Amino acid sequence: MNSLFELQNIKTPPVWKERLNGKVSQGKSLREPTYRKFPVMAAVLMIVLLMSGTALAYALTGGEFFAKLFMQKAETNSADYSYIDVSQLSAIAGKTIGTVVDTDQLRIDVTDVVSSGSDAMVALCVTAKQLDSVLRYTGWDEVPLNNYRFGSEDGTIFNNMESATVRYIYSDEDTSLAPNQFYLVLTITSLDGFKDSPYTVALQSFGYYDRLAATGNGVGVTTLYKGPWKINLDLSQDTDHSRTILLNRKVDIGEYNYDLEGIYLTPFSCTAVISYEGDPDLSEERFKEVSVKASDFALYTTDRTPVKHGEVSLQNGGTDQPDSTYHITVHLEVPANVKDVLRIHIFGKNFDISPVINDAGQK
Amino acid sequence: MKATDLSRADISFEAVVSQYADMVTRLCCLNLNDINQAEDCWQDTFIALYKSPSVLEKTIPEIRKWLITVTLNKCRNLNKRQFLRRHENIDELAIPTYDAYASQVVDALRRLPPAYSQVIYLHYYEGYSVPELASLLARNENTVKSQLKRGREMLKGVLELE
Repeated sequence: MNSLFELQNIKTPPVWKERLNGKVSQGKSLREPTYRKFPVMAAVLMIVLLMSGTALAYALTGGEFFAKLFMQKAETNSADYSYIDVSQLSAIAGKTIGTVVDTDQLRIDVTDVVSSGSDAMVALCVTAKQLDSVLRYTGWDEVPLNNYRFGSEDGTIFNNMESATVRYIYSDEDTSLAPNQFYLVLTITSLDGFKDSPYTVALQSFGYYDRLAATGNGVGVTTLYKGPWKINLDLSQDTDHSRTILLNRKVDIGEYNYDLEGIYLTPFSCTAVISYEGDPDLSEERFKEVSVKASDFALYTTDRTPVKHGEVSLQNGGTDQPDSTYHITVHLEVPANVKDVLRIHIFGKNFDISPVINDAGQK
Repeated sequence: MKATDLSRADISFEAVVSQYADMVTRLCCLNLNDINQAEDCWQDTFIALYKSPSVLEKTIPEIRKWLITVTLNKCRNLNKRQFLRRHENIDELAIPTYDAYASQVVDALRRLPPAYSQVIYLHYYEGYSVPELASLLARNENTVKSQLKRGREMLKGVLELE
């Protein structure tokens, strides 16, 4: 175990201490919720501002931004997305599309908001009014890291979340954007659904990543504008386009027994909820076991087409639930009509599910 | 390896940060997947200390245990939020890594399940005994012993593979 002495090379970046000192010296602000950062993503897209009147009008129609986004994915990918259903997005759009937060530095337009059951997606178009470009090209492997972005994305919309994705879309990916614009697309899955609308998105520390910033030892955002910018969002509390399938079936995962309580389907995700009664000392062991076995999670439509999904996310506990309850979620690559999903495969078993009228998708 | 340089008379928020910053950093780096999360966890841990002045009235070993417990709890909470990555190629470039801390043993430790890497680190590096670890991590002693044994085997296996 002498090799563990290599751990002494892990030193605290001085910039961490500097930031801590800054927060401590602010005193009262420490009583506010602390910030949270997410891994950043870039992707492809289209639209909006400083563009033609047609583009702006288009952006103000609920659900259309995301419909276009998903259709573009389906059309440019060789996978079978024949089950895609974007027609439902307009019915689950929020009412705050078109809201603008305008300051001297940034203009933020709410381009689109859709939500159903436990899932919400938000698209914001950000214009850096005093910058010619929000892109920073300093090397082939630095481009995503150095583009302008927010150092913190937070707000009540992330409360009690099961998982969240933050995507940044720049003009190098979507040529309809001006060089000083980008889209910020948030995808949030809540443990308890979105029942308390309106929600907020709070953005802070607009700047760019620079791996060599400050100390040469840490990674951080070089902040140009501190903010914060707060956007209020009125989410649809739709449940008509989601489904709850209560199963209460026993499943074995490794050497443990679980109760598969139910399956929760929305146009964007599928969540299986399992629970156990037992020794909480083993919860980490169980978490590991479940996380491995949960990767075998598949959905099939009416004609047995596999519904494409991304990585499996796992969360235990919730507002009203103990740590012995697990939520296993797959996020669909394109939206599906939940009534078309007829079979779930998880933990080595198939569960046939038939649509039930008046199901509710909230957990 | 236990840090005992701090005397009771020296205890202040700044002194505790100075003394234990690296320990908390190591715990964050070993238990979290990206350096931004590690910094969030590190900041949150010391802000929690700042907001809990009564902790500074404890003994030095108790403060140290408090920091370890709070850090591991915060790491665990952050790990529960598994953020999705859908646009793989660009995404991978966008997630900051631990380049600055790259080493074979750090990488190997981070590949172990947290339950094992935690006991290995706290026992062999921070010097906690099995009974102390059982108390600190709320696990029974036999569990800690078996996790140390299994952790050593897993660590050896990972290091041999590299």
